[in-house]
Amino acid sequence: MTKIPVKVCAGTSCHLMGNQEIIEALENMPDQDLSRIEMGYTSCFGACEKGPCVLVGDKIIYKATPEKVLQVIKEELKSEK
Amino acid sequence: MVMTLKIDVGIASLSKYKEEVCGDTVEIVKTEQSTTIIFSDGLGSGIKASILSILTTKIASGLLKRNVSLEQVFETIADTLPTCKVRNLAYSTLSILRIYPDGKCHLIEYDNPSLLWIRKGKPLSIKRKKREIAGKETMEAQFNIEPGDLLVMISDGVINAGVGGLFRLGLGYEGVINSVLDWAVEYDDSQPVANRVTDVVDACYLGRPGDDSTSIIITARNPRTAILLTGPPANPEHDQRLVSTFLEYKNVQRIVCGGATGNLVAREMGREIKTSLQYEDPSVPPTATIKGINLVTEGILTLNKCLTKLKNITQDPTSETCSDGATLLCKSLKKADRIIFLVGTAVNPAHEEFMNSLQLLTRTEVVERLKALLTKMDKEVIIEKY
Repeated sequence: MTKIPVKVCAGTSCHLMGNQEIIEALENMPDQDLSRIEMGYTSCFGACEKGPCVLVGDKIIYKATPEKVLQVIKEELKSEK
Repeated sequence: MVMTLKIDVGIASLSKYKEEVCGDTVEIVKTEQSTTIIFSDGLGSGIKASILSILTTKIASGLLKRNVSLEQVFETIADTLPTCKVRNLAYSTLSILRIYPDGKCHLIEYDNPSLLWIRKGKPLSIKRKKREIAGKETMEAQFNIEPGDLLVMISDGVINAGVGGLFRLGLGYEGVINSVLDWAVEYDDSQPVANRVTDVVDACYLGRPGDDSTSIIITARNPRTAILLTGPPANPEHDQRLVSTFLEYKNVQRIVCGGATGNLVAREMGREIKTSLQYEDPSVPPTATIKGINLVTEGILTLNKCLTKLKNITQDPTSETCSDGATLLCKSLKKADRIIFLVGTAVNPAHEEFMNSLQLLTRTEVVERLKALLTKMDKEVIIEKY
């Protein structure tokens, strides 16, 4: 099964806007879901005023919160099944 | 072509068991014309020996700073410092080694163990001549070193380490050379090698040094240049020109600071940028990698943190063991003799708000402060703005 890429922007703005909270939330996902995503940081998306930015699959989530990101991942995982 | 050698000196000392201070003193006089290492071992140990050796090296360095010749320095010291009436020995020993940027060395030794010279893992012999200066029999040598050469200056406490205990005749020259070679392979810096030699000496004395022991490791190398690119140019049409300038320097450490700058370099080079998963220090965003670039970090936060770290690095050398972006940047800047900052002056509007609230220095300001600090550390710093 291919994993869904989840890339959290590690640029200056996103770092200050709380990207680490998102990573923390991802790390605390249930094991069966966590094993289906490929989590990582990425360099600046160039949308600093709309940070933190997270890429889930091919969707960019602007002004991301842990809840928002987990919701999008849930939907992506559902559609993958 | 005239060679411009850079000289790194690492010094480590051990005091005799139960003594508070070390009776060996080392002074380094660095000028544009030469690097001079002055080493003196005061007779006996403790505070008396320390005062004698400090006096000797201070007189020597004071005179050398005023461009007095090595011979005259020696003469002055030999005339000034009397000999001990009881032991009929000079109150302190003295070695002066002057190294010129073209590799030429002038050495005068008085009563110290001989300077060791190592090239490509093998000891070379230094042809010395006896020379009487102010009634004292000294040894003098002139020789030429090359990049990669290693010189070892030691006090007799090092040569005699373990005498009558672990070794019948002490560690000896061979033991010292072996220890230096063991560690020189592992480190490309002089200080850790000097520390390791002193550790070996301490072990030979079983933790109770029978004499003050000092090892000075001197390495010759070619100058190191680092080129740091930070910030996209004010005019996006200059992207390509800026990256070409950044890449055209040869034999340099290439550093990129900034997320957008990293993307710009990767795009112009046609290479991928990979961001690390390590968030070692929560206040410093992770580093990234681009093939062909030595270090890629985030911009503003890392540069500001690097400025603070660089200020404190001498006070807290252990901080250098961290591997967050700011520490790695600090290490790279510290290692370089010449640093070229290519500063893009494009303003990221999203940064402006938090710059003020977090009291962060702007890219241009932080680079100017880094320049001031690095210049104080004897480095040549050039800033080009785009």
